[in-house]
Amino acid sequence: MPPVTARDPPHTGPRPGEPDDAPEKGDALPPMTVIHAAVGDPEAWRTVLGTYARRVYAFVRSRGLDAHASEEVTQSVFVTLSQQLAAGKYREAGRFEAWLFRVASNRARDELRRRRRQARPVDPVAFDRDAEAEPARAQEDELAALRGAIARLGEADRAIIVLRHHAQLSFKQIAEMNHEPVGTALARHHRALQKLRKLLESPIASPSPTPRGTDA
Amino acid sequence: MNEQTPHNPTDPLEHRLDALGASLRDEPDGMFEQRLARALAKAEPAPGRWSIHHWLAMPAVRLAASVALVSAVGAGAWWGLNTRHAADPAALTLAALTEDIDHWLDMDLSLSSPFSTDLGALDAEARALDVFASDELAWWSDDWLTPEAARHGETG
Repeated sequence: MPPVTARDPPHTGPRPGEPDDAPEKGDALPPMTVIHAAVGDPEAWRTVLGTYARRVYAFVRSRGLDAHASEEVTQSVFVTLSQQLAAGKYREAGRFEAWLFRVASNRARDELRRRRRQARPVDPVAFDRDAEAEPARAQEDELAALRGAIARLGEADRAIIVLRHHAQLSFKQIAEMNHEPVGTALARHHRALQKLRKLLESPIASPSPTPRGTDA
Repeated sequence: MNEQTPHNPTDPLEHRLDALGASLRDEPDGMFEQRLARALAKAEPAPGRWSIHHWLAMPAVRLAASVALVSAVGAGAWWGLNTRHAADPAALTLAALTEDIDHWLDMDLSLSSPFSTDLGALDAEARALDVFASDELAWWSDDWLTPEAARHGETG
């Protein structure tokens, strides 16, 4: 390995242009944990919850639901998970994260639709409004601005940003979740970052949220 | 930032996004996991409820099941062949051929035995062997010799 000089900053992640081969950005489950959880092993469930509960919460919260609703949806996701595991419906060996976050995504979307039908005050910028209404949670202005910019992204762009940075999925897992090549996930992430950067540079002139699928 | 780089770990924006993600993950209180565990305990099926899917999901069980299946098929095939042979020896070509060879060997041994004194039986067997040999020769002539060689054999 060549020595690191002042001109070569230490590199901890993948080199530019290389795919992200790391198994996961967040923690991984020990082998067989899912199998043990399927039969109701409390220790296995503690591991599953400890590894994923807050990541699922952050993912759901970033989709535009308030804190209370996000916790309810997270509960519902894990209850569904346990029921499907107990019924032997988990078939995607080695793709547990993709399966889990697909369930979470569907649940969050269903909840958002339900709230819209009931005319509850949840919309794509609720995430932004939460940041303004709860200053204790947005202690840094920078993060508050970032939340506002994410809320203004289109559905697809926001999803990939949230999956990557809030749910801590690897690009491989995101690609598996969306049934697309890893290269496509990388490119979509790159485009979403560019849009986010533009929104952050001109927050006042930023347009209203795009409905969905802006990165076709 | 290099615009051609889809994922740049040194990008400040990505660091800020990671920080925001961390703050969201820290948002629930310390009882969050326990509340989830209680909700699961209410909805979860009773522990120890195994199904065939759970067993088959385990690699060791899958391997053992495969070995058992192959063994069962092999044993069944062996049993079937033996049963068929016992019921109808002629049905199994290899077994029938083996019996024929045994029979011929017995004949040969009886002919070549220096202790045989039954001249009538020897004569009969010699005649039978003669017929057999001529049949064999005809077979060879028909199937293996060229027409020219067969003619040469007739004239010679």
